[in-house]
Amino acid sequence: MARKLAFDKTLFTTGVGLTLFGVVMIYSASAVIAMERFGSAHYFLLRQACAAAIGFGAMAAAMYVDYRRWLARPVVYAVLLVATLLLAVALAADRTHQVHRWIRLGPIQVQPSEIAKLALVLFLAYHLARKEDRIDDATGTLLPLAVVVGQLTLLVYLQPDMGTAAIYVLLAIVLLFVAGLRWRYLLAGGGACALALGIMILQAPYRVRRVLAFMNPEDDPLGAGFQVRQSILAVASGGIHGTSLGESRQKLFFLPEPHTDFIFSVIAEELGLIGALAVLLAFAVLLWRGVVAAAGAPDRGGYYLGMGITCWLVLQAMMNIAVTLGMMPTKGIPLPFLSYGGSSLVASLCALGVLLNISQHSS
Amino acid sequence: MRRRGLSWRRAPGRTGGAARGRGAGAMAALPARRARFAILVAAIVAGLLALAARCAHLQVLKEPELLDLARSQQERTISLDPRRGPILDRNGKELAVSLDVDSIFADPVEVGEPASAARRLASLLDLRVPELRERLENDRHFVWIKRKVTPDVKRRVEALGVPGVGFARESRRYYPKRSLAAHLLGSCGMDNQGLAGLEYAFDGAVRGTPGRIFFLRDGHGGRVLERDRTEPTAGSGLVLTIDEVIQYVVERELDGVMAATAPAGATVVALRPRTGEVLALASRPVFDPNNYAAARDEAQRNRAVSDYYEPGSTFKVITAAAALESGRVHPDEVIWCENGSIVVGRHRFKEDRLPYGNLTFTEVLAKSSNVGAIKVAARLRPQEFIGFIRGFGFGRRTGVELPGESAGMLRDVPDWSGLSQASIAMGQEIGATTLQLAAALGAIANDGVWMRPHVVQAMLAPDGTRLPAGGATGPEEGGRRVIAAATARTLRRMLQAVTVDGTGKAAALPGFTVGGKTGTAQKIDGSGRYTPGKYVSWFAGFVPADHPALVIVVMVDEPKGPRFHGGDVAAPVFARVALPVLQYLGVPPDREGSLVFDRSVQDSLGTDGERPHGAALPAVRRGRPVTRSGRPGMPRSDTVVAASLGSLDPSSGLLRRGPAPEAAGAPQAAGAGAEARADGSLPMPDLGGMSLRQASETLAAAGIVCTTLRSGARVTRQEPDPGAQVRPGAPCAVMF
Repeated sequence: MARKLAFDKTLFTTGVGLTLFGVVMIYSASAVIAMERFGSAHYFLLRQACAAAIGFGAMAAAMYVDYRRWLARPVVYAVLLVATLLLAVALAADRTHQVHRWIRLGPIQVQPSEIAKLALVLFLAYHLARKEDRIDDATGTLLPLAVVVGQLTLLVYLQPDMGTAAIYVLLAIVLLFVAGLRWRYLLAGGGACALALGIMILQAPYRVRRVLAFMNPEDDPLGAGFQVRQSILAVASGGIHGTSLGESRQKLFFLPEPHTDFIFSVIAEELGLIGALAVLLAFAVLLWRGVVAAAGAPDRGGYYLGMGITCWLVLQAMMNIAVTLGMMPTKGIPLPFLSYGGSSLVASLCALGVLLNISQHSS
Repeated sequence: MRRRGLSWRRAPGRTGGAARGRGAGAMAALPARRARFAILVAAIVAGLLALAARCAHLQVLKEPELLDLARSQQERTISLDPRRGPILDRNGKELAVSLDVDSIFADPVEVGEPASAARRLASLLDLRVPELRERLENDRHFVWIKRKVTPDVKRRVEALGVPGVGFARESRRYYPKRSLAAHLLGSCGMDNQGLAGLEYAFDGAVRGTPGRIFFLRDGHGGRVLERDRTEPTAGSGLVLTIDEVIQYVVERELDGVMAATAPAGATVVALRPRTGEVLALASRPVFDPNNYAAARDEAQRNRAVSDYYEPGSTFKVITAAAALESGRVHPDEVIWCENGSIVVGRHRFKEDRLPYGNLTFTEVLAKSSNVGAIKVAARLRPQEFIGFIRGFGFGRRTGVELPGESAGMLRDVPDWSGLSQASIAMGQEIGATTLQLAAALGAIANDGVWMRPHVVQAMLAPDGTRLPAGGATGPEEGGRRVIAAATARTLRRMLQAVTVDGTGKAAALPGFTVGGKTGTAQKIDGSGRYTPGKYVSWFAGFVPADHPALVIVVMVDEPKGPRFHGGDVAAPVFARVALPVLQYLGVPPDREGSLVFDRSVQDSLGTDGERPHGAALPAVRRGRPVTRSGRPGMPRSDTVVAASLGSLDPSSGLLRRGPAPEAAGAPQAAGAGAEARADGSLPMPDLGGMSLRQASETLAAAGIVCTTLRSGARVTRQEPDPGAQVRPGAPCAVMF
C-alpha cells in the first residue's frame, strides 16, 4: 500500500499554535498567582514551556511511528496495564492528601488519568475495529469493553476526579455510537450512566453544592456559585475586543484557577469575543481535520483511533468551555493544549502526533 | 482497494483487527454507520456553535450590565473629604473653620480578640460593648469605630495599643464663637455636609470637591493597586457682611431681653441702609452649631427671616410714607382723631392707649394714633397703597442668601375686606419678617431707595482670591426707588419725634438723634382672633436720624410681665445695641449729649460686674482697623471706640473657651502699650487743651474708651484726672 509522506499541515499548525498560544496565556493568567505562591512570576510559564517542549518531542515521535503499531494486541494491553497500574499507584501512594491525582517524581508530577486517556482511546479503537461486526454482542463485545472502561473510570472516580471519569465514559459511548451500536443499547447504557452519575453526585455534598450553584448561581454568589459567576463576569467584561493581553482583572484572585480550568475565561476577558471565537474556531478546525484524517484512514483501526482522539480533544475542550460559560456544572477538566498542566499537554500532543500519523496514511 | 472515499466503502485493511464480514448484515450496517458519523460530527459542530453563541451573548448583549458588576467588585474608590471653606465676618474674623481631627477605625481581621478589644475601647469611647464587638467581628478590612474624636481621646486610645486600630485624619467643622451668629451660619453634619443656614445655602461652593483614590481590588479583598488619585479641592470661603463685634453686641442684648422678659423668641436685624449689608442678624432661642443635633426645633428656626409677624404700629411708617409721597398729607396737617375710636364698615377701631382729639400728622406717628393712621390711609386708593407696600418689599422674599426665607403675608386688593385698608394702615392683616421690616426702614433711611439686604459680601477662593458673591445680591446692585428723597427726609424728621416725645423715648441715645417707630401687635390665635395678653413688641429705628448709618429692628415675641409695649420692651434693646455699635463704627455724635454714661456701655466695657458668657475680658488691645471712619473733617474717633471694643472682639478670647482650635486665625493684635499694668489698668493721660482730634488720638493710643465727646474747641475738663489709674474699658469723660 502506498503511503502519503505528507501529514496534515493544517492540523499540525492548529495543535502547535494552540499550544504556544496556551503558554502565552498561562503566563498572563498565572503571573500574579505565581508571584504570590512561589515568589516568581515565571513559575508556571517555565513549567508549561518545559512540558510543551517534552510534548512537542513526544508528538514528533508519534508522528513518525506508524499508528498501526500501536494497535497491535500486545501493545494495546501493555499500555492499558501500565495506565491501570499508574492509576492504582496514584491512589495507593500519597495517602497524606485527600486527592490522589498525581504521582510525584521529584520535581515532576505525573497525572496518570491523562495518560490513561491515551490507553483508553487505543483500547477502544482496537476493540471496536475487531468487534465492529458483532457490535451488539453483549458478552463478546460489550462486556469486555465495559470491564476495561469501567475499571479505568472507577480508578479515576476514586481519586476523586468526576470530570475525567465522565470523559472516559463519554468517549466510550461516542465511539460505540459511531461503531453503530443499537439505539436501544445506547439509550440503556446512557440511562445507566446517568443513574450512576446521579448517585455519585448525591454521595458527595460538594458535588450537590456545585450542581445547585449551577442551577441558581445568584443564590450564593460568594459560595459554590462564585467560580462560575466570576468566570461569566470575566468573559462578559472582555466585550468584543477584550481588555487587551495581560489586562485581565478577574485573574487577580477572582477566578479560582485562572491558568488551569478557567484559562478560557482569561482569554475571553483579555482578547474579547474575537479571541474566544478564535479558540472555538481552532477546535472546529481540529474537528474537521481530525475526522477527515480518520475517515481517510486505510483501516477500521485507524478510523476509530482517529475518531477517538479527535472526539477526546474536541469534546473535552467543549466541556471545559461550557463550564467557563456557565452552561455546565463545574467539573475541573482542563482545556486541551491551553490549560496549564504538563501531563494533559504531553498526552494531548502525543495524541495529536498519532492523529497526524493517521493523516499521513489518509487517502 | 485504495480508491478515494471513506474507509467503510472498502474492504478492511490488513492491519487493525479482525476481518469484517461481508454478509448482508454488515452491508446493512454501512449506511447506518455513515449516518452515525454524520450525526456525531453535526452534533459536535452544533455544540461549538452553541458555545460561540453563548460567548456572543455574554460579550456583546450582556456586556454592559455584567461589566458594571465586574467593575464594582474589582474597583474601589476611597473618597477624600475636601476641607470646607471658612466663613469669615467682614473683617476676616473666623466664624466657621474646618479643623483636622482624628477618627478611629479598625481592621477587624487584625484585631485579635474582638471581645477584649471591644471592652477596652467601649469604655473609653462611650460606646456599647456588644455593638462594637459585632463591628470588630466583621470580616471586612475596615470599620469605623468612632469618628472625629478629641486629641485627648485619640491619645488615650493610642495608649491602649489595641492591634488593628488606626487613626485617620478627617476634617471637622468648628464654630469657635459657639452660638454666635448660629442662625446665619447654620451647621454641618458628620460628613461635612451643610445642614442649615449659610452652610446649607452655599454648600455647593463651601464644601469643595472631594478627591478620590481609585484602587484595583483583587479577589482576596485586601491587596490593592492604586491606579489613580485625585486630591480634594478645598471649598470656597465666605466673607460675610456681618461684623462679629456688632453681632456680639446684638446677641448680648438679645440674651438680656430674653432674661428680662422671658419671651417665646426675639430677633434683631442691624443693617447698613446705604448698601443693604446686614451687619448683624440674630434670633433667640439659639443653638450651638458645634452640637446641632442637640438643638431643639424651636432653636433651629431663624425667626428673623423664616417667621413673619404682624408689624403693628411700626407699619404706620409705611402708611405715612405712602400718604406723604402721594401728597395726601402734610406733616403739620392737623388730623381730628375722633376722641379715640372710628367706625369703618361695621367695625370700631380704637386707640391702644389714650383717646386723642386734634393731632398733627407728626404727632399721629409720635403718639401712634390708630385713628389718625386709618384716616390718612383712607385717602389712598387701595392699589396705590399696596403699590407702596410692595415697593417697600412686603409680601415677597427680600432675596437674602439665607435659606428658608418667608415672603411674609400680604393679601392682594381683590381679597381685601372692607376693613383691610384700615387694618393694614395700623399694621394688622399683614405679616412681615424682621428682615423685611429692616429693609423697608432701610429704604427710608437711604433716601427712598430700597436696597436688597444681603449677608454675603464675597466668596474666597481656596488660594485667597476674592470672588464676587454671585447672584443679583451684590452691594453694587442699584436698588429700587420707592419714595422721593425729600419725602424720606421729611419722614425721618417726623420719626425723630417718636424718640423725643413719643412712644419710643426709650430708644433715644445720648449724643445721637434717633428716628424710629414702636409697635405692639396682638397675636392671633389659631382661630384667627386676637389673643389678649399675647403680644409682639417691635421697635424699628435708624440712627443718626439725619444721615442714618444704621438701621436696627428689634422684635420680641410674647414678652412676659406687665410691660409688653414695643416702646417698653423693644426700644431699650435698640438703644443698648445702637450706642456701642455707633461708637464701634466710629459714627460721630450729631447732637450734644449729656455726660451720663449709658449703662449698657459700662456693662459691656467694664471689668466688673456681670459679663455675658461669663468670660474673662482680656487686656485692652490697640485699635484694629475699622471698616469706615467718620465723615471728612471729623475726628477719627473710630480708633478710640475700637480700642474699647477690642475687648468685645470674640476672637480675642471672649468666646473662646473649651477646646481651642489651632486654626484660631491671624495673630492677635499686639497688646496694649507698655504702660499697661499687671492688672490691666492704665494711667489716664492729660488731655487739657487738646483739640477733639488730639484728645481722641491720645486716648486711642492709651487704649482708653471715651464714650461721649461734647463739641467744642479745646478740652476743658476731664474725668478721671490725669495720671489716675483707669481700668481698660472703664468710662471716662472729656469736656470741651
